[in-house]
Amino acid sequence: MQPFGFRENANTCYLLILAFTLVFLPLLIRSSYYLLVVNLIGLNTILVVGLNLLIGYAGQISIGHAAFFGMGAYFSAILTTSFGLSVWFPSWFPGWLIPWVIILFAMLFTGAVAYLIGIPTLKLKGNYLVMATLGFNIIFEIVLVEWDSVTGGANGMAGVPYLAVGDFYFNSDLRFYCLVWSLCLLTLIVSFNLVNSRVGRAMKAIHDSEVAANTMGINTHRYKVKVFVLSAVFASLAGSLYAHYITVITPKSCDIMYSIQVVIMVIVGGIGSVWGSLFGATLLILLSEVLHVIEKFNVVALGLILMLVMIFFPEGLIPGLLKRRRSQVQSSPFRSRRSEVRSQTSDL
Amino acid sequence: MKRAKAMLEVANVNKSFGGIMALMDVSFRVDRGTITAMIGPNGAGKTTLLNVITGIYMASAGEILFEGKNISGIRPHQVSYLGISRTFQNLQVFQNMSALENVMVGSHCRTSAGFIACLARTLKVKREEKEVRNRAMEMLGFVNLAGKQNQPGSSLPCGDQKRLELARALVSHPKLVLLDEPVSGLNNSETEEMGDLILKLKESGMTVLLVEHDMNFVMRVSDVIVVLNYGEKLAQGSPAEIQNDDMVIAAYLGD
Repeated sequence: MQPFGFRENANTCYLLILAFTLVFLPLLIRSSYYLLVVNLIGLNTILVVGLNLLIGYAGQISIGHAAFFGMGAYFSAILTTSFGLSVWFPSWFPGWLIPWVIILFAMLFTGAVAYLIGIPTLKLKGNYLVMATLGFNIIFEIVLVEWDSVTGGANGMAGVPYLAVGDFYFNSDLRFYCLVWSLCLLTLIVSFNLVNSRVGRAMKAIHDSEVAANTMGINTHRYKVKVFVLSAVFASLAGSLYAHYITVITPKSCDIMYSIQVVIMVIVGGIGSVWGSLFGATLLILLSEVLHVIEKFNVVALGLILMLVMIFFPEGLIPGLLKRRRSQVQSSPFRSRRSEVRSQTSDL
Repeated sequence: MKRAKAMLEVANVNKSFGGIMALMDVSFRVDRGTITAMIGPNGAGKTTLLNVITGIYMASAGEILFEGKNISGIRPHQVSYLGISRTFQNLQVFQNMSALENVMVGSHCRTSAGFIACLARTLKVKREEKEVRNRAMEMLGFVNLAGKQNQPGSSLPCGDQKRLELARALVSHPKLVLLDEPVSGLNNSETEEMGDLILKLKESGMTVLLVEHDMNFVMRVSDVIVVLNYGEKLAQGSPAEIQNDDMVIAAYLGD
């Protein structure tokens, strides 16, 4: 039996390994196409980690997170292109800082929208919550397409400027790589902080027994709304970064298919596993790049993968594989031993 | 002025579900520092009353007074802040959390770190976390679960889960603990262990209201017994009085 601090120390260790790998990865990847793929993985991880907190820890499923992603992306795109926002800022305010401020405002705005949506919808349970968030995503898409004077309609918006710090522009894949992965690491760190805290425990408690959580003084509804808002804010950040990276944003990049795709990333990676989010995003992005060859059957393949994972690894690929490996090593038939293994892997 | 002697007062409480009266005009008092047991046949309304006290159900009529203050209509998540905690009849241990984490959740109402502070893991959060962990470990020791802190709740045997729930309820320093069938499903030695723990609680000055079917256990630990039958209070008294009460005997054994 390990001392309790084990898991947290292990996570710090893994985070350092990840950071170290990230520093050296660009040396191995020379092609900018591969860097683009790696950057997309980073962007998606930011969103998926947040969504995993909602699905895996608070036990609430949302199929509307592409809308929050789109909200961040369009907020940034609209305010940095068609609106001449710079006149609102005092002349001493450095121009390069404005898009960053807008990203923060996008996160605030998306958080506020999520809050307003969350209050009524999170009173719903199970399938009804799924339907409500799905409906929200559809409405959002329609607004994007129809309100073309502001959003550019179905063609979307182009010419979103690159982000910059002073004269240093994040205008190449390598430069953006540094930005997105720093933010991704930060997201992972704060998520681990949250999970291993009073709030994280409250969320897990809600997932396990709402009645008991309530009795412990946890206002379950308020916690659900807060996690929902947090996951929306992460999605918004990912969206804004995406818009400033690709410089083009269309309604297609925040449609329901994308919402479903990120939920699949959560499930495949491992529900309730922060590391699983990273692996889920990596796997699905790599797969969708590989599966480009079979174009139309892409979706079929995704569905198949989801089915197989659900059948063979219902707790997600990463926790499932780890558990399988450890139980092979120890191969003890006793339940308590096996569940101890589960306890070690469940928080990965 | 002396503090009010009654920790909890149930005054003329009624609870109906549709046309069914689950509780009819139930009144009794739980004195500070005593162990009060509620007994009665299945469906007598014992758990319903606990649920009314903890705000899970709202009383149709009547009042619940805690330390002389009317707390009827309180929301379930506010109850623990007043100093009332409870355990459940059908175990509600958090299955996916370790035993230690389970007990740490019990401290929720005694800690205050907010969402953003937890994201940033501020110094205050770290300090609080350490205190909560130490206190939880202490509590696990108290209920004889030391050494099992890393086991997931789901893997513990029933007896351990019962004591884990007790630890989770005690860790917030409540003034009143409500125990819903603390020894159901336990074997003799486990029952005795639970009885010892509850008597120890009384020694430390805690007030306990419990619901239980195991008569030997009830007779051993309780100072006052309240008998419910079909939602009505049938009798109240010391264990000896209740054992010799004709109405109680009739209700249990039939006329």
